[in-house]
Amino acid sequence: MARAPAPPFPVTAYSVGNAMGATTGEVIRALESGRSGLRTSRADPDIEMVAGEFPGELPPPPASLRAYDTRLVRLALSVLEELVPAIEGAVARYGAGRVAVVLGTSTGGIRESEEAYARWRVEGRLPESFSLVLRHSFNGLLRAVRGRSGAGGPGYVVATACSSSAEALAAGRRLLLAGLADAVLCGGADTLCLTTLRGFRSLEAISRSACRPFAAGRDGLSLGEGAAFLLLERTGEGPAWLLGAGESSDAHHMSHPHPEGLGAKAAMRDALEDAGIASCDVDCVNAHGTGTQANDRIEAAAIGDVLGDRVPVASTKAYTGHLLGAAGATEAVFSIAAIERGFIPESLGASPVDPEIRIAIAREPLRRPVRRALSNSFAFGGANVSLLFGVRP
Amino acid sequence: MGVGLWTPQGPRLTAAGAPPAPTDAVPASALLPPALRRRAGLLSRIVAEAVGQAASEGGADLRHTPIVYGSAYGETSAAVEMMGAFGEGEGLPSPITFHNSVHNAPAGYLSIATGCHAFSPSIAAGPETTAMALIEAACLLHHRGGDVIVALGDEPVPRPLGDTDAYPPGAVAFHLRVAPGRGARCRIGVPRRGPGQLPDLPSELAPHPCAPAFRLAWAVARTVRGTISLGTGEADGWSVSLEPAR
Repeated sequence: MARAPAPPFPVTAYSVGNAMGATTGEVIRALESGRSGLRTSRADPDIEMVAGEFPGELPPPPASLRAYDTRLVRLALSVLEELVPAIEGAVARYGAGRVAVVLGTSTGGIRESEEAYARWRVEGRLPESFSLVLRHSFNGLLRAVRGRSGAGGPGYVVATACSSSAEALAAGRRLLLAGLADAVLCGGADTLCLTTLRGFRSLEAISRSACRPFAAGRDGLSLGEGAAFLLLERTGEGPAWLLGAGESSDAHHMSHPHPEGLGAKAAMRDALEDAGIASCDVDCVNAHGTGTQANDRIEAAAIGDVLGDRVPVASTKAYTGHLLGAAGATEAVFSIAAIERGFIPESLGASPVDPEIRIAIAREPLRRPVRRALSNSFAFGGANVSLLFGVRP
Repeated sequence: MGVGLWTPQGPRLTAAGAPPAPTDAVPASALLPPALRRRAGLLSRIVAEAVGQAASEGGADLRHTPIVYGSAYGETSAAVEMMGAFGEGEGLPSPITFHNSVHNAPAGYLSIATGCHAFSPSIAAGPETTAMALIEAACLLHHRGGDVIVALGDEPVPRPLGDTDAYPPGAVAFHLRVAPGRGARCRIGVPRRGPGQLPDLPSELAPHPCAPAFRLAWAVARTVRGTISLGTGEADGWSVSLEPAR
């Protein structure tokens, strides 16, 4: 039996930062001008590869949050800063206890743990700055963001690998639906680290050059680092509304997508049903589109089955790199920007498109009204999330 | 509500709620077929064991039941094993170790084993992980109805990053349903801020990141009525109401 559509909630503010720029304005301008943030990187000192490093020096957290100091926390707080006035407004309106925080990350503070482990190998002891509880664990990021934002409601990290921060938005929306919060700071952050750089290399999934999602000659993904935050509120106005969230599990394999895209299709259909929106009313799709052979082929077929072959589809991974736990929130911001600015970005690197991919990949930027945009995030463990954003219903 | 539990102190929750006798048994994890059991790490196996017990006791159909999995640290043995690999040879981890290192590995293995296509959130919130997992479960039940399994699990963090002897591996699971049947053990509320009782816990489990979940399981087993702390009893911590049904 089809369930009744759930009420939409406004995204009243957002911020984003990644290899394209340290501020929201810089990132959106780079997206509109088709400028990638991917560069040759020494994030892994032993292996040169293309990756999306966050630009510039990241300042340390304020003294009160110094205990949580990691590159992840620096990066997250740097991107969060733009949003602090909006969060303070929500805290003033609803009370701190009614403002929740749900964040996504896939690796947390593991970059510093890797460095600590390497020091231990050489010196036989961990550096004094290492803290399992305050820096390694996901809770360090959570405490730092709660501390800076002043949000005092329920707070947790969702960690479903590459769909983490998309799921953070789905979970944050559920807190509003259940009446357990009146505003939710949702978002995600991840940094480059050996765990993912070498982990994906062990899967032979890293591209030799900048990734080219949906292209005929694609040969894998490029990794990146960044953060994005969105403020969901029970009431208010904003550039776009979260209309629906769809979630599914592939129940197939830990690191390979279901060959028929079963979970991907289920997540997209679930989002449409959740919002009470017909597939023909979706104006564009921000695809998961990592640039690996299997993921792009399977996702494209799933999009074609659910939405048809005429809706413009773009992957933004060739701008940012795959941001893993930050990808869902970042691409949610890109979907909102598409609605706000009437702009669908070029699916960078996609030309010539793989002839097996028979959907409408955006080979050039498109200027047109966008009323509804769907954003896909798929992950290890078969954890799929599709988010549907739109204009005020 | 059905309850499942695995610790080296005992593979099952005793009916009287008394601390069970220690055991060295490796969990059977019967939910996982042998091919998955061989690949899965210890944390995935003990979570699968606890989930299987809770589903069996509560009558959950795991093909259609989402699992809210909470862990403060996740599968750290895989993460630390990877760090060891970075300094040797090509410095690459095995692909299986890499995918076992993701926080949602236990939920992923369980979905594959049961064929469940419902999304299973995997969360972390440090010492508030149990409370937040119950909140996420309450939200899921409010939005989608039906059944949810809440599973909490952690393994000791290996040296050099952690202390292997700090606490034993352990997992506990609760089967929750919006409209409980006649066999339900109790009614559980939505976590709120406020003080609550701190049921006794075997001393080995007191420092465990999932200690609040073990306390809750013991309270359920002892048919405790009242408000149970999901922290350490602090006034502004999270707590949950418990009302025995039988």
